[in-house]
Amino acid sequence: MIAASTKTDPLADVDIIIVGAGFSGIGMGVRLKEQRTDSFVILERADSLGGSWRDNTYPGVACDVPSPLYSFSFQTNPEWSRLFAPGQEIWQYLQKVADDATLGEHLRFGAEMSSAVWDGDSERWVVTTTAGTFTGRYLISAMGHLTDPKLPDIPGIGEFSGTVMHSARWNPDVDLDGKRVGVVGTGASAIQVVPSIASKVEHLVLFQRTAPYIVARQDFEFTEVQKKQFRRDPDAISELRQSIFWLGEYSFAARRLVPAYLEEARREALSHMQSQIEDPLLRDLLTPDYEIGCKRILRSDDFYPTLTRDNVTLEPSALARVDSGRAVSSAGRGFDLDVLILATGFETWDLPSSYLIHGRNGETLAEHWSSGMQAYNSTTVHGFPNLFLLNGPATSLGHNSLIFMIEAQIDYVLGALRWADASRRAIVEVEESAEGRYADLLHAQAQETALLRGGCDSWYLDPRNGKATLSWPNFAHSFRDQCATFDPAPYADQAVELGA
Amino acid sequence: MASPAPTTLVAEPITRRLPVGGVEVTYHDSGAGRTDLPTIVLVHGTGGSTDTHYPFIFPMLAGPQRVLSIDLADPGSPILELRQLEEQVIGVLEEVRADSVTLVGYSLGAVVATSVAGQRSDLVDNLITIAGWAKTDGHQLLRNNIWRRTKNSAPVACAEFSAFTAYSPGFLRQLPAEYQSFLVDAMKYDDFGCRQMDLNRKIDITDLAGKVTADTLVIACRDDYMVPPHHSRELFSIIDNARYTEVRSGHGVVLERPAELVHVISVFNAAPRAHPAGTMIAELKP
Ligand SMILES: Cc1cc2nc3c(=O)[nH]c(=O)nc-3n(C[C@H](O)[C@H](O)[C@H](O)COP(=O)(O)OP(=O)(O)OC[C@H]3O[C@@H](n4cnc5c(N)ncnc54)[C@H](O)[C@@H]3O)c2cc1C
Repeated sequence: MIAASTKTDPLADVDIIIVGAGFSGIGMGVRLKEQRTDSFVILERADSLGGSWRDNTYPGVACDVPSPLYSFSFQTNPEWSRLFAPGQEIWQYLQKVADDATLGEHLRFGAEMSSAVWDGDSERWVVTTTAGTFTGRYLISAMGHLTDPKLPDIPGIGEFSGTVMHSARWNPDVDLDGKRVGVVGTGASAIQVVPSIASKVEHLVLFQRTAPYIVARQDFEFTEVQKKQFRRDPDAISELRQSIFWLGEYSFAARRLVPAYLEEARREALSHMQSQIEDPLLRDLLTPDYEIGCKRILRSDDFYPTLTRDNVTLEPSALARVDSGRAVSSAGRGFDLDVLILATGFETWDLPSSYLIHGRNGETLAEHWSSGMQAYNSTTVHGFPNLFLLNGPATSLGHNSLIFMIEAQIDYVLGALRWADASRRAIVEVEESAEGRYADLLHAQAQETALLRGGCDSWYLDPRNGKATLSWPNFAHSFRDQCATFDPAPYADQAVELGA
Repeated sequence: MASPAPTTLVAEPITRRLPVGGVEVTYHDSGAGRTDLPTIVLVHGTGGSTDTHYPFIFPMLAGPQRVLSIDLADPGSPILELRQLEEQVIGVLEEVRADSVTLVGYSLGAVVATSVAGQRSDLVDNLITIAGWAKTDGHQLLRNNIWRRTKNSAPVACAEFSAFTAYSPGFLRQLPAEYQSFLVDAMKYDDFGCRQMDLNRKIDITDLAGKVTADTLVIACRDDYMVPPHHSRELFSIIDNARYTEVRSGHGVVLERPAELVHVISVFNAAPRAHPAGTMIAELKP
């Protein structure tokens, strides 16, 4: 690709460079605009905004946190068609948010960042992209943590005679009608895909390495009257958002392993399965062998019934290899398939984006994180001045809306920017010791939760250090309470006066 | 595949018993916190216990801070006096002698806690009242009357009425029928509970509340039909050093919105003076 020139781009040199145009990048942009800050650019590698909701177009894609809450607090949406809006609608919502804030002039599509280098002399970030070079005083990484598909290392998959696609790179041209289809994985995406395609395929084989816990979803369409109420009475949305939010927070007690709540959560999930599955053999295969809350608890009303269809086979082991075109499970069973759908999740603990960002001395974030990622307040990293990470380490949640977390981080970043301006600091860099203490505290908390004590291997865990570095191990509200307000204390000594 | 062996809490609380004024008071102790935050001491409401009123709040507040929860004991006298309950709380506080204490009371427990704080500023650094009140009023008496008249003659109606007034309409409407009957069935009052209901008729701690000097947070429940928010607003006005906040819940907030209470209590305990006295603190808007 020919590097485009940014010579004529009025935003080639700005105060703030945001990389990524998903919920994080767009939310950050809207809030900056609201503060009348105009010197920022949002770089996005794809040709439109939307992040997860642009990339995930597989049949059945939807959120699993109710939509009235899974949306920005500063722009609630009375128009959601249903409790769990389809992905397409969430994508459109995010586009509307950007349009309403007139973010268009700040967005640069087809601008994939290949490196971001801190230049200590000019005290600026130099960001190289497929659309030219951008420089800025601050770099805000909003590149997501469920962004880059994780492709399992399956020997022989290259020789698979049919089509292979990852759920997050769905190709609508692949015809599934009457085909023999294998789905690999039983995570959040798989349980949405499987019921959506089962009736059209000839045969579906689901490769299950570990059974998930699934609870009832109880989705419903909002009536016209409800939507009208949301439009006329904004407090009706507030009321609903709060009740969804606090119910989500309630469910954290099970994850903190409080016996009565753990028991309640386990009973809810297992009785949901038993009410939908009669066959004792199938029940056995679908009973998880780890504690509830260790992996994401999924929501579905049609996944279990789909498994009882005649044309669906549950293979209770992983896909191990492809042998002369045949998919073979780790239990040794072979299947002739036309299409393989990899619903195998994303790169989480070893973020590809971390290889692109070079701090002081040229060290990359990935090198800095060679034994596991961490960031102070989940946002700043020692050795990486004027860098803020949105939705990076220790922000993932199993029980509530990520947008709540992202908004708390945006508040923190705005606080940091205000402080730097008011105190005339050129550099915002956190002390190493503060970063370490924060990580240790989170690890201590995670050890009290099912994340680390639930006896499973999940995408929240970093195998290098055995820590749940992706996850916020507490109530979502505690993140806002503890981490949304900028306190300069751990930055003060590192800071250099502007012009000094 | 078999179900896994049950995973358990990292630290189990310790239960202790303490003789106070001829009765044995039980209290539960979460053990040391991770930080030097004030120790939280919980006092339950009418007819309750740590198990029934604080099953969520007690374990979920524990961790960052030490948490104690008192199970008020039946003094056995035919007429229950507020003083008898105050003595029990004072007894535990004197026994424990934590460096710094945030006393949290719910409903009748809030009355007890406020009264204790008004008398013993040496034992209570911070005070939190949840759905508390200073002086019983006509609205409360009317409800109490209905409860009295039906408890023996129409026990089912009594339990239904209690649940009806204990939870907010918004909470009840979204409950599946079986949960609703579960809540109704739980509305039972033993002998001690009935005497607490009698005590509720004659509360007047207005003077003592005026003597509270502790940094105080008054928590009201917006949809409370047992102790409507006007009572909390009154406490907020009587106690000089008070802040006020409201939760969108019925009186049964400890079961209806327990996580929000954990939020409000944790934030206050971490920095009781973050908001100056007299502030009406806005709710968290997720
Ligand atoms: C199928 C699915 C369902 C989900 N459902 C829920 C839910 O119900 N509730 C919930 O709370 N969360 C859910 N999530 C998590 C979801 O990822 C977050 O809620 C949120 O969308 C994350 O937004 P983000 O902007 O941080 O990241 P992303 O949406 O991942 O956006 C990151 C953006 O950065 C861009 N980018 C990456 N690298 C570069 C580069 N080098 N140069 C330029 N641009 C780059 C990407 O193209 C992308 O547009 C779901 C995720 C998926 C995948």
